[in-house]
Amino acid sequence: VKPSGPDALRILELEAQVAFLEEVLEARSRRLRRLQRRLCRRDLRLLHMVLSGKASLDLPGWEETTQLTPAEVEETLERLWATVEQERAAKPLGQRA
Amino acid sequence: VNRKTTLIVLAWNRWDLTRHCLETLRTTDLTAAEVLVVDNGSTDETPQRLAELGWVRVLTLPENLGFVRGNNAGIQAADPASDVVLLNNDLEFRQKDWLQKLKSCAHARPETGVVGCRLVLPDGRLLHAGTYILPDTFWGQQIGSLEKEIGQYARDREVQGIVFACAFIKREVLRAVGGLAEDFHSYFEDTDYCLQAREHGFRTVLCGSVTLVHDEHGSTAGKDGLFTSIFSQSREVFGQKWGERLRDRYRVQILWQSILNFSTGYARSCRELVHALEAEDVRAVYRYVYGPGTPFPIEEDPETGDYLLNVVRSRRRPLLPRIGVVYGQGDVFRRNAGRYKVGYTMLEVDGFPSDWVRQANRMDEVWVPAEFNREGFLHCGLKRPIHVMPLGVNPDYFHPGIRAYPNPLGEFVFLTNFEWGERKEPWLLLKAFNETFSSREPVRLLCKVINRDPSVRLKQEIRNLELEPTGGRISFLFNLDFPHYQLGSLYRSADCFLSVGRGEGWDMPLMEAMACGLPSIATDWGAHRDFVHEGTSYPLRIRGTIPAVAKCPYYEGFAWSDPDPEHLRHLLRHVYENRDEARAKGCAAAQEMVERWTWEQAAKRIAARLDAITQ
Repeated sequence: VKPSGPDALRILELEAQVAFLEEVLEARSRRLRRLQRRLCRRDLRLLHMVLSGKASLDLPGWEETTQLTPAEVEETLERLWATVEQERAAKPLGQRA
Repeated sequence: VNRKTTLIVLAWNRWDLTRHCLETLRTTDLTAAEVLVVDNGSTDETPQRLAELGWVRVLTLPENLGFVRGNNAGIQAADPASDVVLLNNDLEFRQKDWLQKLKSCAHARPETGVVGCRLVLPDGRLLHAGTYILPDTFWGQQIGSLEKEIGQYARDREVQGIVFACAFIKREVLRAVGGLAEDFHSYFEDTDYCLQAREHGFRTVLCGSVTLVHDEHGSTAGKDGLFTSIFSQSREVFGQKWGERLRDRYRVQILWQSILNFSTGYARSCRELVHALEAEDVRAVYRYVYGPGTPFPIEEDPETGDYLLNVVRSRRRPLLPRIGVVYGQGDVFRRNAGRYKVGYTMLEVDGFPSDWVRQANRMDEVWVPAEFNREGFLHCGLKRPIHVMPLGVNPDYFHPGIRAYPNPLGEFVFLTNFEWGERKEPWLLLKAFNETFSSREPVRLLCKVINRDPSVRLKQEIRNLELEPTGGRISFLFNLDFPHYQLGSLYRSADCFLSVGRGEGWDMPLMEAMACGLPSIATDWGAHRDFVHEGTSYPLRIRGTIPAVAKCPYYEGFAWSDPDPEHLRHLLRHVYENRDEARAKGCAAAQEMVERWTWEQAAKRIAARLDAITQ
C-alpha cells in the first residue's frame, strides 16, 4: 500500500535525512582514511579524544623531570580536586559515551 | 570524679591577654572548678579590671615573683583538697569540654600524675604535643612544634614532659612533690616537675583530645634579652640538677651506622628507629654508612631538620663501640665498626646476593624485618644467627582521625604511592584499573609516583600503555615531595590503597595507609605478608614467581612474584562495590597496626635484644 497525505510527506523527509547522514558519514570516512595515512596510531587516539571531548591522561603542569618538588598535601589535593571538578562540570557523568 | 579543680591563671600586666583568656575560659564547662587569678604584681590596669570581675577569685601579689613563685602562691591559696590546673594568661579556650577531658584523663589511671594538652598557635600550627630533653644539650624540645595541624597526636600518651602553659596536676602529686622548684625563675620548671613526679612514681600524659590556643611567650614577647637571660640561668640550674640522672637512664649505647637524610625507605625508617630507640633509653651514636667508596657515594647533609637526629649524629663516637649496627644494604656491612657486629637489612626478592651473604657471615648476628627476608638469607647460605626485627608505623601521624581532603565530587578514590620501576609493575595496575572501570563511573585512581631515573620518560611510558580514554580515570601526582608527617592526610583522602608490585622488603607506605584505616589490595608475596592478611586487607593472588629482571643489580639470579591481573581486576571491582566490607577491613587494619606494629614496639624488641647481647 502506497502511503499518501501527511504520511507520504513524512517518509520523504526521513529518506532525505538518511541520504544526508549517509553523505556526511561517507565524507567523514574519507577524511579519516586520509588522516590515517598521515598520522600515527597515538596521534589518532589523541585526535579522537580531543574531538570526542574526552580527557587525556596528561596532568596540567606535569613536567618530565627527575627532581623532586617540595609540596604540601592540602594545597596539592585542593588543586587536583579543583581540576577534577572543572573536568566533570564540563562533561557531567552520564553525558559521556 | 567529684574532686574539685582549682584553675590558677597567672597574670602579669598585658590585661588584653588576660581579658581574652578569661572571656574565652568562661564560655567553657567549668563544673566543679574555681578560677583563681594570681596577679603577679601587675602595674597596668590588670588589678582594677580583675576587681571588677565577680566570677573569679583574685590573689594579688605585691610584686612580680616570676612564673614559678607566682604559681606556687596560687597553689598555696588553692583549696587543699583540690587538683590544680596551671594556666598561662596567653591561652585561648575554643573547646568547651577541655577541663572535663583533662580531668578524665588524669583520673583514668592512678599512676597518671600530670596531664598536659595539645597547644596550637593562633595561626593554627601545632605548637606542642609534649616535650623531651636530652642530656647532651639540656635544650628542651616541643614535640610536633610548628607542624601543620592535621590531627596528629590525638591519643593520650605518656611523655617525658609538658609545658606548664596548661598543666593539670593531681593533688596526690602536689602532696608528694610540693610546688614548682623555686631554684628556677621561669623555664625548665615544668620539665623539672615532670621528672620529679616520675621519681615519685607518677607519669606525665599528653591528653590528645584537648587542644588550646597558646600565644606563646606573651609575658616575654619582644623582650629577647630578658628571655635569654632567664632561660640561660634556668638551663644551667637544670643541667646541674638532672644531668647525671638523665645520662644514667640509658640502658645501652650503640653505634648506629645507616642513612637518614635522604628520601629513601632506609632513611625514613632509620629516622623513626633512632627516635624510638632514644625513647627506649638506647643511646645511639649515628654515623653515615654510605659515601665515597660505597655503592652510594654521595655525602650526607649533616642538617637533618630534626633536633634529636642532629644531636644523635653529633655525639662523640666511642673509640671501640661495644655494639655496632649497620642498617642498610648488605654490601656495606663491612663498614661495621662495632666490636659486636649486627647487620640489619632487607631485600625485595627471594634471596640475597652472594656478596651480601659473605659480608653477613662476618657479622656476629643479622637482623631482618620479616620472616620472608629470614628465609631468603638462610636459603642463600647465611651461617650466623638471624633475628626478625620488624619495622613499624607511627600511630601519632598515621591514624583514622588524621585530617582528610576528600574528593568533593564523592568519587571513590584508589590510591597508590610508589617509585616508577620494574619492581612496582605500574603497567599492570594502570592497565587493570583502566580496563576494570569506565570513565562514566565515579571512581578514580590517584597515583603518587616518583621517577628519579633520567633514562625513563614517564609520560611516554604511560602513553605507550594505550590506556582507553573511555576506561577508568587516572590522576597523577608526579615527583612531589610531601613532608612525611603529612602523608597520613594523603592516605585519608582516599578510599582504598593499592600495593600491587612484584616484591617488597617491608612496605612502609602500605603499613602507613593501613594504620590510617584504609582497606588495601596488596600482592600476596613478600615481606609485608607478616602484617597483611584477609582480616585486614585484600591479598592479591600471584600466578607464581618469575625471574626478577630489573636495572637493580641486587636482583640478578633471583625471583619475584607475578601478580594475577584477572584477580586484580576482580578485587578492584569488589572493593568498589562492597564499600562497607572494605571499610570494616580498613578499621581492623588500623586497630591491628596500633596494637602490634608501632615503632615503639619495634624499638622495644631491638632494645630487648641489645640487653641480651650485653648481658
